[in-house]
Amino acid sequence: MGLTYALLNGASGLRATQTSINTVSHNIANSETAGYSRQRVRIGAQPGSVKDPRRGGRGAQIENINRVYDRFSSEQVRRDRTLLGFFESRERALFTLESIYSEEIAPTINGGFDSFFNSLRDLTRDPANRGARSHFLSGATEIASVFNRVHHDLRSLQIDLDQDISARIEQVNHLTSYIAQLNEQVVVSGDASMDFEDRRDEAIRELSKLVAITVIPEDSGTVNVQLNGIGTLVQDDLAATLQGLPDPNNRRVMTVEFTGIGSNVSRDITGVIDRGELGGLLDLRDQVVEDLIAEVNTMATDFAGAVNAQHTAGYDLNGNRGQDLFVFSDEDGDPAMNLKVNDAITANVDLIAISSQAQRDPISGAITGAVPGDALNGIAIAELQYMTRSAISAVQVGGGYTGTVEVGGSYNGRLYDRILNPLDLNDLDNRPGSSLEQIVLEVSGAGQPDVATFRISFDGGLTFEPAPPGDNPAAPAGNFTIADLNNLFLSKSNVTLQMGNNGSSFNLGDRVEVNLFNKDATFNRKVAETLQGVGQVAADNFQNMDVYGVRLNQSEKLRESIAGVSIDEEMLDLTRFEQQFAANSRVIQTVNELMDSVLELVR
Amino acid sequence: MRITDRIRFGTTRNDMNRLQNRSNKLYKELSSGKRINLPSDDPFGALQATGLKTHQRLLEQYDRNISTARINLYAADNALSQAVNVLTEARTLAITGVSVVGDTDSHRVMADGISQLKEQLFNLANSRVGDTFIFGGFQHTRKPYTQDALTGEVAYRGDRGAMKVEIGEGSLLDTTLEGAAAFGGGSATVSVTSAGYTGIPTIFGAYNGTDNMRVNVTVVNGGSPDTATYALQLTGPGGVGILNDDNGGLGYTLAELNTTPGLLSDHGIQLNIPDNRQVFAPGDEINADLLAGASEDIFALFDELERTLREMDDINSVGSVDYDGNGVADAQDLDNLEASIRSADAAVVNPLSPAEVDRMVRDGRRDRFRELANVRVQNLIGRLDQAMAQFSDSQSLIGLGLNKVDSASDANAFLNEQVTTTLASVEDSDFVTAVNELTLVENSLQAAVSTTSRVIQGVSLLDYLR
Repeated sequence: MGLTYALLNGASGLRATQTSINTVSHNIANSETAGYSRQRVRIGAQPGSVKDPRRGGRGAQIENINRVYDRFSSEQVRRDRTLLGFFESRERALFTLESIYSEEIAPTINGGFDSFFNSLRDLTRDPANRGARSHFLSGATEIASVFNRVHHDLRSLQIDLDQDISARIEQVNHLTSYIAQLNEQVVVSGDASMDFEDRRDEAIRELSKLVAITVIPEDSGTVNVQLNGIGTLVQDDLAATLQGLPDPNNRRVMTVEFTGIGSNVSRDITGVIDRGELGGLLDLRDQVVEDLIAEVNTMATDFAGAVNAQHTAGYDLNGNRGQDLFVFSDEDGDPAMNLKVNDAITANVDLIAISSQAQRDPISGAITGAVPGDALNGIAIAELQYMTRSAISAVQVGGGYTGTVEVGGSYNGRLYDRILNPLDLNDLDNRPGSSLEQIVLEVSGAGQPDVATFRISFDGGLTFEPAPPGDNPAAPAGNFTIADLNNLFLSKSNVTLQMGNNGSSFNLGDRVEVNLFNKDATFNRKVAETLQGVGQVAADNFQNMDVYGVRLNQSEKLRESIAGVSIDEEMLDLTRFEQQFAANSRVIQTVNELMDSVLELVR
Repeated sequence: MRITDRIRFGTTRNDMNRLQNRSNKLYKELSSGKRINLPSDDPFGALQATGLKTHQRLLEQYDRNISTARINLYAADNALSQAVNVLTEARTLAITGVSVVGDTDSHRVMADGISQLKEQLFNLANSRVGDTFIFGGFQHTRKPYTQDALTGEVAYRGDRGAMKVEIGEGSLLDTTLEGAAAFGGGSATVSVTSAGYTGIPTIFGAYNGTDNMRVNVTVVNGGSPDTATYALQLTGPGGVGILNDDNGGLGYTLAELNTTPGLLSDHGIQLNIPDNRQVFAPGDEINADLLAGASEDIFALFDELERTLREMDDINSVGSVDYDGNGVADAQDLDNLEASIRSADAAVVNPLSPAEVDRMVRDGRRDRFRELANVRVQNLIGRLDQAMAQFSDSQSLIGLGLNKVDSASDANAFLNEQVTTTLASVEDSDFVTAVNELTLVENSLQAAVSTTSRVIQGVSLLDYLR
């Protein structure tokens, strides 16, 4: 019955065409679905029967429905998303960071320095004037509060970043469990798994934006997702979890904890995640912002130390030696956060010590106050603005000065740590020239101008000796003897040199300058360099966003060009299948007519 | 490459985004007038701009300091010129006083004139700008010269310092002066309240910078009244040694001042008086006056001139003036006058010897007295000339200061211009370039938009399938 065969062939053609049209419509319907890969129906010819070779071919059959998928371009997209994610996640925070340092938006440390020193210069013109003293006090309060604000803003930024980080961690958890769930569905749905695979791919792409991952397809149809450098995130239908925990030891900044599949022990992976959005945010929080906080702290210590050293060398309106102008409300806390003007001085502007000598009563010789027009100590403080070495302490002294010279801040902490850890003392000589190993003592002015370089070393305790001439040819050891320097104290925030009784060494108007090595910028310059650094980080970030954005576009285009739905193409197919459908229908109609003709014969 | 609709739309979307971003930046640049709105716009430029702004603020500060200095210096210059005029007038009066003989009233009128001139000088020495007395050194908050209500004696209470302002980096300028350098003066009085006084009397100011200064120390009253003159010698910056005792003070020995060197500071000269239990008694007064080597005390000079002129007046009116106030004008008045002149003569530098005075008395009192007074006036005229030199020294110091102010002011103005220009080139938007670029970007945007509309209307099979 050849006609029946033809009828069956026509029917198989109709079925195949219907499936094709159905697939076209599925494609068109999903042409805007994210991550959707176009599907293709593979139709094969059904060969004739071996038993009945004369029967001929048995029409068309649907072999399978495939999604068009290219592993290379998919992975490319994933990699580029990880790269872009690192920079993209930080855009908003970097704008905030820049605005912290931007003069147009908020008072900056640089501006604070300027108003501090200039208000001091105003005061030196009229030193006894209480109004000018209050004006200077507000300059001092301003710089302290700018330090406080910058520190606070940086800390707040870290806390904001913690919220971002915690949201990303939730996203990672959500995506990994979703991928695990889809793994299961892909296996269950067998041949009809294309749409699940698409969804899984899209989820993996989303995940790769957050963290750097490696995807290993398994034979079973599932995928194994590895968190680079850490461990397995997804295996079959199981997923590991990340968790953000506030670290009580580190101002409650959040650490990222990883709990592996089937494990109930978590471990800290904060330092390991260095890519993707999570990596970008962590880098910003723990490197960029943390460094800036350390820097602003050092700067606050430096500044307060230098100003205090000179301020305490002067005399206030009552004729007493100056107190510290700046103090830290919490000595153990972050200096920039706790910097403030000494309460005693805030309460009484008379205590601002800008005179270089005390006024004596001509009759009794007793101290009656400060010399009213003498603002030499104030001018000496203002000159700190020009000083290019940060570890400076310049004290103008009177005749027969004895006392202590404090070198504010700038000490990098290494030596101190070494004293606390005597085991490390041995490697001291291996690091010459680190910031505290040498101290230059300089006396200039009326008395006996002299320069001496001392080298600090450890001999059980802290001792100092003249530096070997080779160490610093520019500043040869002068006439100072070590006896002039009685003692030296080192604390976390400053260095104190104690001068012995040197009635013969110093004269009125002398200036004792103590310099630590390896520092080379004024306060203003250091702040400007920080600003440049911040600008550079942000500029690099924006540029990288552009570069990696374009790159991701390219790879997404590539993926799209392979897997995406082209409406024109689908229309063409639709027309093709329409015609095919019509042709198959015609076959059936023709067979039907032929059948009718045959049946006529019978009548 | 297969181009799908998503690619077509995606590409135009990305391009338009980029153009929008760029044009947004340009809008911001044009509306703010600044090329750098955030540090990331140009990190190095931001660094430069920060430095320049600090520099600019510094220059503004220097300018403020300079105007203070300028006002003070002009005021001082003005006061000193007037003082020189006063001195010239006094000199004219003194010369007239020598040449006029026998006119009864003229010397008295001249003496009154000198008194008025001293008053003028006193006011000039206490000149001030705002609350700042410019001739007080560091002691700018109170009048540097005071006048004893009883004796009319003027004393300097300022010191040797000078207020300073910064007029450039590391460049300081004095805005007040040590008044004693021009007007002279300088003394200290210590009232001893208990036996065994030790202390540090400070003589304010008045040291003229040479090292052959002498100080006259007088102890009066209860204990051991005594006078001694010491020569002071600088032992190095800040140190004063006491060399020797000129006219042999008796009550206390040189050793007592000698053992503890004094101190020369901006504040004044400090003499250390050691433990002198056996020397001082309560009620003692220790007077320390700077003598030779110190500046000419112009007020003391005027006092002396006035007194001499009055004496000349008295000499003219002997016999008609009741000098001792006993109701009769007689020879007794002449005796008293002689005693007065003798004692006045002993107080001046280069006095006539007592023997010479005796001879004058013998030779005919009136003429000799007149001669004596004339010599004294001549002497005083010489000292007046000395004082003139003092004033012109101070004036030239001020002139130097004013020159420094002017050149600093010019230099700062020039620097300010440079800094402003540089800052503008670093920070300000180049308007023409920005507008050009904006036009370009807007054109591209236009093109992108019209392309997009093409893409939307685009050639699609859908349009042809019916």
